[in-house]
Amino acid sequence: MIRRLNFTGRKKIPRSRVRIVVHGDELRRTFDAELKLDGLELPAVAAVYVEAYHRSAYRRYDFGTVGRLGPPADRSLDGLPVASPLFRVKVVRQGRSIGRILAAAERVVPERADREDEQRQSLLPVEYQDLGERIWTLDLEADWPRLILNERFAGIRDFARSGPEFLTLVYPEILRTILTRIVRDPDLDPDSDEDDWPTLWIRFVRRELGRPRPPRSWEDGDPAAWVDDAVTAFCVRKHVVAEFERYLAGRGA
Amino acid sequence: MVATALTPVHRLNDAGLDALRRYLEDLRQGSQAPPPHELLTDRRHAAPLVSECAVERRDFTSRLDAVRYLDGVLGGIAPDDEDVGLWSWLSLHYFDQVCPVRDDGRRHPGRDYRHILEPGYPHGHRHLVAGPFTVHRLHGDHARALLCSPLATENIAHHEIAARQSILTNRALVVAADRLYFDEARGRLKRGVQGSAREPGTLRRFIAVVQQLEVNYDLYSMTPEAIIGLLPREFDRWRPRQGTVSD
Repeated sequence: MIRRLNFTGRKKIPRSRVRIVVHGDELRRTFDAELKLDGLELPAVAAVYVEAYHRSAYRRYDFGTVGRLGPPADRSLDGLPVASPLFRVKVVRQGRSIGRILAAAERVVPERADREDEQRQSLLPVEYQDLGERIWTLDLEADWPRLILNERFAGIRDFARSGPEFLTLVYPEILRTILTRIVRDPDLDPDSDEDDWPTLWIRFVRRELGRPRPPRSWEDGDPAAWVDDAVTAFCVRKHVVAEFERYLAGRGA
Repeated sequence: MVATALTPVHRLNDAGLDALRRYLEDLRQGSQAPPPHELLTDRRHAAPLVSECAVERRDFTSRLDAVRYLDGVLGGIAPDDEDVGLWSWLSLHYFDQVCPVRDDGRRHPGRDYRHILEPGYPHGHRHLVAGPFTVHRLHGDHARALLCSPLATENIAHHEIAARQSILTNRALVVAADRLYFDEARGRLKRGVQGSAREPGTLRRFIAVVQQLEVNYDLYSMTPEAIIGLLPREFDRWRPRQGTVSD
């Protein structure tokens, strides 16, 4: 896998120092940001910007300076086509004409104020859109994988969270798709950024499912076999077979 | 330029939008029917704006010409970027220019979102009237590189830049693109701009290089000159000659 090296001196702002919470509903969404930039050896006069984005949609907010942080009054997320866009935080040294990025936090997944039970960083943020004839889809084209559920169905959120159909039939396939993307894409390096989604998913497989890290090369093993093994481990851990049997029994099958 | 009688600006309602959608589909199926301009003022399909304003059915020389005119007419009412009925009405009103008859005797409307606004990303900027209007509202004549094509045509500058909001909303980048690629003498993009992202110095290469520069530079806080100064030597043939740059 390609290992990315930082030749630029740009610092990484640890994810633990950035907390973003999105408020509101479809009509009006805003966000709050808690930024802890002390101790990172950044100039007090360096400018701080927060950017919200989803694919090509983008908005930027001036948060003052490192030494004097201050959120702007307008923190609305109007114009961004998802409930929870990704965020990035930039610390910029403003020269006479050049603005050099001194430090940044990329692909920050916000918390949702209306989802107090999901305060940990979500591996798989969920969005709701009109998917026409489809019930769900997995978006792997944006900067962070998202599960998109069809908003036409009332109660689909709870159904996806705790329904046996999703647990047994959908989530194993989602896991397979994401892990396959990680092992096949040479540009995705789980070792390069401990806060990025490939690393977090590998960490999930290792810590939660007790499986080894993926093979680094074909000499080390078959990546497809590793994915299969991880999916099986997920099914075992979540008692998928028993759940499905219970579901069938409940339907009188 | 041919000017005609004024038509009060309306907003297509759901029935009007459905009728327009059917007409577009009929065109794709080979129909040679003229645009259903009767919908424009038919109360069953359209409602007049509360604030009275009117437009002429006139021939525009370019998208820039069109949006300058519309800005003059609509500016007082501060039109909403997401007003589906209004922008779709305007597309129908100027249909002979957004979808002219081609040499084969047919009109080729393309996707519905070119005529019936789908607000926001990814299709809002593709609307043939709302898209350029939004660009002009953001940057005025600084965006002439994006607006120098006929009303029916989204040129490569608009296609590549308006699709990326982080670039479109950055005045310095839009001005930099204008200074690199707009031929003032001819009033259009310079020759050779349209090459692929693998060809040195093309507009697509500019986009690719900008996305690399964004890793280390906060382009939002920089001037057009500073951004152009960061570009590698492959852009030398496009750099403005000293003394010819104007704001």
